[in-house]
Amino acid sequence: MNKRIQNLRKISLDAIPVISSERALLITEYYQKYAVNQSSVALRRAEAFRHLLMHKEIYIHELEIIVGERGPAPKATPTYPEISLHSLDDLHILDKREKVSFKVDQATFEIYKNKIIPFWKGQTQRDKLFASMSDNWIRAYQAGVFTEFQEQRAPGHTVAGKRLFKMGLLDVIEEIKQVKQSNASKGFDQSQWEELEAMQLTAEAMIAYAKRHVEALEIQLHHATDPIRKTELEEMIGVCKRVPAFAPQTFHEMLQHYWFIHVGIISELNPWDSFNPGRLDQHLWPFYQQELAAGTLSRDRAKELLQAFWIKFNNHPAPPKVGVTALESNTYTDFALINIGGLTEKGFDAVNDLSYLILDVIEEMRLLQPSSMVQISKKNPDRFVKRALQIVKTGFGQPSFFNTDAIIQQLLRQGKTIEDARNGGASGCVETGAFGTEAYTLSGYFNLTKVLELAIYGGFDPQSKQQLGPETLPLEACDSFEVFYQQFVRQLAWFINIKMDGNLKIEALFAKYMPVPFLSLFIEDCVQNAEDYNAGGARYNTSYIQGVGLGSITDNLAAIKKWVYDFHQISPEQLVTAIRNDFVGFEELRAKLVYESPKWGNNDKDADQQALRVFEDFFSLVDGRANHRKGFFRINLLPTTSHVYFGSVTGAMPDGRLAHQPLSEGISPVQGADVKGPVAVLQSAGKLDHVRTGGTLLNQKFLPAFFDSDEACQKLVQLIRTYFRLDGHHIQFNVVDAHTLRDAQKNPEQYRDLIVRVAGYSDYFNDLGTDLQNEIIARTAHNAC
Amino acid sequence: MKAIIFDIRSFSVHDGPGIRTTFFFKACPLRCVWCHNPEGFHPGIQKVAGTHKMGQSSVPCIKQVGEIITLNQAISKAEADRVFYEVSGGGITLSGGEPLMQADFVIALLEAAHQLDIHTAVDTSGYAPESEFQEVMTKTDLVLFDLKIMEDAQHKKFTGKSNRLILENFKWLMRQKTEVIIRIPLIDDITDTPQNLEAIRTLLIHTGAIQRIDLLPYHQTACNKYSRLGLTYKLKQMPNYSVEKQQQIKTFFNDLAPMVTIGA
Repeated sequence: MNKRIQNLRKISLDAIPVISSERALLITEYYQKYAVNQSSVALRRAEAFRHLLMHKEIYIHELEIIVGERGPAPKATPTYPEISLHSLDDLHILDKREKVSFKVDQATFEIYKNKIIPFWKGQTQRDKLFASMSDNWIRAYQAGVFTEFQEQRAPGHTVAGKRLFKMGLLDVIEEIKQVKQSNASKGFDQSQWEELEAMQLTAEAMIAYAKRHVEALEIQLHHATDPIRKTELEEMIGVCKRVPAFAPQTFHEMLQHYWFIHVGIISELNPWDSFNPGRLDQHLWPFYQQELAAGTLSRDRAKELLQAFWIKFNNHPAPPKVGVTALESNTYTDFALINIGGLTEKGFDAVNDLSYLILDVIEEMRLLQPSSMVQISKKNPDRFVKRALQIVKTGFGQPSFFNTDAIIQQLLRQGKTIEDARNGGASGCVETGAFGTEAYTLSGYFNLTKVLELAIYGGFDPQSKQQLGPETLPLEACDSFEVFYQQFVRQLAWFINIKMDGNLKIEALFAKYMPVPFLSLFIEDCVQNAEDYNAGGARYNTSYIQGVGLGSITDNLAAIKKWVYDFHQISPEQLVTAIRNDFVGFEELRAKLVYESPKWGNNDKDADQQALRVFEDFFSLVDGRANHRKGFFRINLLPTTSHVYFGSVTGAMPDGRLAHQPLSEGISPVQGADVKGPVAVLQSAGKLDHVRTGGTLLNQKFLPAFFDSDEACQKLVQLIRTYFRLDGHHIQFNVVDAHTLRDAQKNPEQYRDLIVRVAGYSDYFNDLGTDLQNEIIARTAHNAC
Repeated sequence: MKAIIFDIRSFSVHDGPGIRTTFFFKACPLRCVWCHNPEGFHPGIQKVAGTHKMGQSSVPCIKQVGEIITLNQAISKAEADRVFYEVSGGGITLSGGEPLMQADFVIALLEAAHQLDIHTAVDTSGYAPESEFQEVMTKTDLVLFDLKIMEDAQHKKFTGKSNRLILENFKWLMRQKTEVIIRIPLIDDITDTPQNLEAIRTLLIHTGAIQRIDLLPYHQTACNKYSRLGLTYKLKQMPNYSVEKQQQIKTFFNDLAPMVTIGA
């Protein structure tokens, strides 16, 4: 890391996240003053976008080589009042909360009080959304049966493909003109003509925004005294004069081109899971290779540019939410997930020198953002997997590992062409998508365990004290496990229907009121179809529902089956009394449930068959049903941090989990339940048909000492390869830190899986004496980088 | 056919090549004072008092050490992990205790694995009757053989048995084609004395080509297992083996085999 990068990195790390009122003010100003007589929603959105880009402050730090900032300074984070409006209380909470806070200054409070809140109150997309939902939807939502992504953020979850990197905006404008003159245009309705107008307007606005950077750079050049900086500024001016108007021709131009567009997309609206360059090593590779050969670019310079690019992501925290959720600690991560490796469009091994250079960048930068992952196909070399593991070993959780071959199968099953599938990957946490061609919207997390809780109580929710689901037979009234399971399926079907019914309305609301003409420029075939990204203009349109807590629901079903129906050792009345009382007075019963029941993640038939069953029912209730955008609903299994929230609204359960504790996350076993080691976890996880999902998330913990020997690392490579041969979608390794081990001393039952490995022998961390535990904690703290 | 085992574990990093499923057999003729698998001492199924830890409290329970496994169960367990072996070049490892104490079962399991094309390894102390030892050794693909103490009186003192049978078996083994990994536990002042290391070296020089030596430095982590089993751990005060000495000993053996490793 050279001096410049060190400094820029420090600035980014030191910057305190603040709420910037700039965007809210400009957007409000536009709608107040200029939008009065406009009839078309799309044109208004485009003009608001132009107004923002024309008047927002241009930030260029004197050390920067990649320019463009969403707010007036690094980590100055805008709000999106047209989507959801922060109240003064929300701003106070953001300002004061302990974790993931955003400072709010007095001026911002004033602006919010006097200008933003009066204009948008009752007028936001969020208001429209809640007004459109049924009573059943509202009650289920409030009780924590599901969440709704679009309630605070725009649909997004999309990724740049080849189109973005290969076309200048002038090329896109030319394409728009051709579409207008094409035969197809004869069938266009008014909204399509307006959409094309809006698209063109946003493209022109972006070119003008780049021009504003050229002007700012020229002023800096005028004042610059350092000859080296002068040359740099001249070069940057050259770059910003070309991109994004013209298609990029150099490595530097590629990064700058992308970054301008990125800033545009995350300024236009706040798409859930920020935009993302996707297959970065593939897009940049031709330029890297040519310029290296021609001598116009060195490896060091390429690395410096990439590092400067990395810092840009870190400057942009996820825009904070409103309402009760403002209290949750949340995360600054906006889930821009950079993909490296995988296959080329023609099916060749795509790992190249640049893939390794990017891994070097990830290792050196150690930044929260962007997130990074490696795509591993059977055609990629072990060396690549090993290099990525070396970075994992340093203990910051990145990169994660994805199975390219499974992703391609998933996309093909959904009807993508083989080329579009190979150009795809994963974004956000683990979500499969065809990059540059698909609008895949995550619609919300779905609390499978909560539905089981409702089934136990016959549809009654003991937490919110109301009949939430249909009246079904409570556990005490079910004379066989089969009968009980059917009650669960009835509840599940009921809530899935409510959720999907809501999704259809929400998609319609976004299509109608919140078009994104700028984002639409970059996703095939929005321009050709003269249709917005949010209205189904993309080549593929998918809506996902994310199942949460597969491990928890599995262990609950397995415990009920074993103790109540197979062994008859616990009566349903006794079990229900125990969970109603949060196991107070039932400690022995709870220990039995925790320690002696079949658990997901141990390659245990009795547990795993429950998981497969839930998977099949969830899948068949969701998959293939039509969404509002001429596409289909699909499932995936991932939680982000919702397993914590979902746990907080779910009472004690038969797997021994106490009330309000977190659920399991993704398809990982319940915290600590996988006592048979990683092979058994992968055996269980490998039984799921990942190919019929749009992504699953699996976490595995290791102590840092595990990575010490080359042999162990080689075996981890083999472990990943085997899981991927079983069509596993994703795995990530958390290297356990000293803090976690201390927590394990306090809550041993949640860490039953922690294994201390020594030569030829291993033991559970829990089974060690305190002295030895302390010794391992000390060693772990010492080894951490 | 049945055996008594105390654990089946996958992903043991130091029990042979690739990802392996290791079967730990109960019963052992030796009582090495440093043993890290004391569950393997007793030949039968034991019930010991234990606890289920719940937060800061614990609920008493009875834990069973040892279980009966049939040949069919053992084979289906191996079959279930097959995909891991195929990707990694792994297989099954029979360890213990001393697996040769249940030689009939071990032989049957090795034969069955062979038929199914599953790679096999046997981790042995070498303390077993010649005929059984030889039959097992010819049926496994790989042997992990422990060399502990060369001087017989010392061997008796720290393991409870003479090493004569072990050394005879070892010399016979080294004349066979079976692949062998030598494992040397490093225990302060017991196995790492200059005389003992020199004696091991001399033995190895005279037995012919060696592919690999694994040095297994002492680690105190096992001591809790003893109290759980109601046994006394005699090395309680001994610290973990010095990293520096591990390296010196590695250097000492380095010229004897293409691969000399130190266990984590």
